[in-house]
Amino acid sequence: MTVEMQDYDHERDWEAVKRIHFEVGWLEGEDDAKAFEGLARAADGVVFPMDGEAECAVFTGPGAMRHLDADVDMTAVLAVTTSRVARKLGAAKKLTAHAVAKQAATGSELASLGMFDQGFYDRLGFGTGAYANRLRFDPDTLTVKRRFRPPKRITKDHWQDVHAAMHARLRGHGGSLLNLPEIVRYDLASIDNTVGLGYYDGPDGTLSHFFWGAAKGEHGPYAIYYYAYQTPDQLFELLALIKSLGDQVSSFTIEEPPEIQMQDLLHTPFRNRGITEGAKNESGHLTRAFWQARILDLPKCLAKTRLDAEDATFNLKLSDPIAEHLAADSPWRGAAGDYVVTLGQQSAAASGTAKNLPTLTASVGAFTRLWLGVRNASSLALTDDLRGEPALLRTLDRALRLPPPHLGWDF
Amino acid sequence: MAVEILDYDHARDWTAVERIYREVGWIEDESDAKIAEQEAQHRPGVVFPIDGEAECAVFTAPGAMRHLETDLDMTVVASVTTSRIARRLGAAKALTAHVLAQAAEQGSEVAALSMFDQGFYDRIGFGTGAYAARVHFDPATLVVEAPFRPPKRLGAKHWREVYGAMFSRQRGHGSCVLHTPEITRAHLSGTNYKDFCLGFFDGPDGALSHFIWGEVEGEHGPYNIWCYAYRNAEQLFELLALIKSLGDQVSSFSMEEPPEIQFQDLLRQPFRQREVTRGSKHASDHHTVAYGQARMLDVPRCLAKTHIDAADLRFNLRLTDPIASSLDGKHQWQGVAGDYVVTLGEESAATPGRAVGLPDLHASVGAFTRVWLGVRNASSLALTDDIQGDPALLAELDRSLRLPRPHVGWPF
Repeated sequence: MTVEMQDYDHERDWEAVKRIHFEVGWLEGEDDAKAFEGLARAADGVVFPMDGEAECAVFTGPGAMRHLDADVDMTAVLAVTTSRVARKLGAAKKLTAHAVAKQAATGSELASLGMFDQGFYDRLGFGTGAYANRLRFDPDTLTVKRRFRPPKRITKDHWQDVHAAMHARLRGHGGSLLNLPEIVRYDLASIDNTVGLGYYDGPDGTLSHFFWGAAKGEHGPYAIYYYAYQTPDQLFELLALIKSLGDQVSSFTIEEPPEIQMQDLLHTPFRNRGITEGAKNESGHLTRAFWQARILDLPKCLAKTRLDAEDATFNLKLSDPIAEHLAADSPWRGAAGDYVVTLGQQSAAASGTAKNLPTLTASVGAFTRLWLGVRNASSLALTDDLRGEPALLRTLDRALRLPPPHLGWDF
Repeated sequence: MAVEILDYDHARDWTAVERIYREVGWIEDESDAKIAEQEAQHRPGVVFPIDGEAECAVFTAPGAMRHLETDLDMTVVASVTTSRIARRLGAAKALTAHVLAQAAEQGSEVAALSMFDQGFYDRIGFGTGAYAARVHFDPATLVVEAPFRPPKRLGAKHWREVYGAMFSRQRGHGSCVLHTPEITRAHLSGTNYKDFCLGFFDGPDGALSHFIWGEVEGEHGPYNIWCYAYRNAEQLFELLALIKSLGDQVSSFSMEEPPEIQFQDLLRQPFRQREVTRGSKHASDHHTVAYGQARMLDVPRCLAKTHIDAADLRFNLRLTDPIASSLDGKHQWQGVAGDYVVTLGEESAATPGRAVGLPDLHASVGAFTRVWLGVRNASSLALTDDIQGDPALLAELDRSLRLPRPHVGWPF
């Protein structure tokens, strides 16, 4: 069956797209449907119709990902959903490839997404990101000594404040931004019993630091999904605020901030794991790599790469599986090709091959992982599609000693 | 109550030490007792007697820890136990401080241990190590394509081979080895039908090159691997292929993630597996914990073995060390507190004193050990640990000490 693609037309497609999202369990009530409708209007969408009704939909939105100190223009693949009647037709893959190509053709340098599982998006050139740690802990065991002030409540109505605070937050390597405030509006609307607290210490009294998540019952768990701060001092005020709820709430879950090893801040963490084992409020520390990314424009990504290392120059033979999923008339055909790459203070990638340089052969997904510092070259040569002489791999290991990339925004 | 400290005398102390081990739950049956006794016979130890019987015991083991490509002389604090009648007397702390002083005086450069919890050993200068990840997975979901051969079964009689393989394994930054093969002998002596140990003899002269060793629970597992070794990536993948081959029968394995790879890369549909196994005893997941601690015993010698691929960075280090308050006056070594001029670079150094015009770093020995090992960078530890310096110096340290995450790789 040929997969026809149409740009999303809200008047024409919304009811069908809404039905898909109810079918896959992303929408459960009219409140979150209304919020998602706002996102669908704002985002760039493409649909696959059957009998005139959308049965698969992909939405993307603009954003940025930080590579060390530089922001790279990023397209976030926000939603890929297929209805119950359109499975195994290749629609999601085709539509995602099309949506990514469309953004690449208009200047996006990188694409990223939160994966439903590992493997599917690899076929479109995405490579798996770094591990993120999610902790569950008893807030009463936080050893934070800092004082805190009474916070303000953050509700669904504060979605614009939350979006602005996410944009102004302290970001390190990999720290990502999504430009559409409607994403936050949808996320905040999608949970009924929420907990949101924050402080308005930003310029002109803007929201500077906050956390927001789902509350459950009297004793929790409280699951934090969004948090932001502009300084470490603000992070510690948030942690002190969380600790203050320990009289009542038995556990919080939160993704570990990249700046700290959070186990450092817990009193007797092993004892707490032991005594809560198997409990609803079990303390623990789970790890997973939930996001993927891929380079869309290699020369532009490399031009923004500034490494504190001696120059390393090599030939890169890059493969990209996305081309086979793109329509023949797609103006962008992926990033495959031969490049001469320089990594250093002023990095670059130029089309072509230079004599006497070592050659690295890689898929775009594996090279994206290397470039982001997810794992070093020697490691990726063992588990991903990346090959080179050991000496070149060691040179790359030295050149790309980066902090682990941390998105800080789950999408 | 004064804490008297005696060197461990096996003939005199074993019965009392065995009682301590039973009281704290380390010995549950005669097999455990046999292992523990063999270990005690081959480890240096000290005891604290009450009414002539040991009520607290600390044992150590000599070894080495790798910092990038250089081995440092290490003392492992292998066991610290206090009986039910000797709690809150300060005995464990005093005995542990004592063995560390002994080790330092005999030339040990660094000490390490596995903590029962975070906080206690901080009081004698230890800092928490890096996160290690333990992966629980269905072996049938491994996407490893490597071939494997029928392995050899290993048991108690192979203790020398297992020790040799651990000693000769591929090691990276932070990896440790122990110098007492009898500890491996003791552990293997307890192997029974609940253990599995499989390996390949591809080393020089047919030595054991790569193996897995763990415990089995029933027909379908979990199979918990707690020790493994390999000398190259190909051997690692043969072990993984071997694990995968057991997937017809075994529903789950757990093992510590090898430092070379992101294990999730090797699993088919890891998120689906997490969902469908949630709540099962075979639940697929990935837990992280920092269970090890370390501390410098000799700062100049540790720094002399530090070779960093970075431009020289020099600073004044004012180091504090809480261990002195737990030591009696009999020891010449009273910790590593003091002022040092530190150089970090290809040829690093620490010399006592201060230099004019250099920036200052103030740190506890535990926090500085963490920075030096690359557990976290200086800017991070300034937020959660006892280390202070100007932001510019912290940023320079962040750049200089971009090290791989330290990974011990030897359970102790």
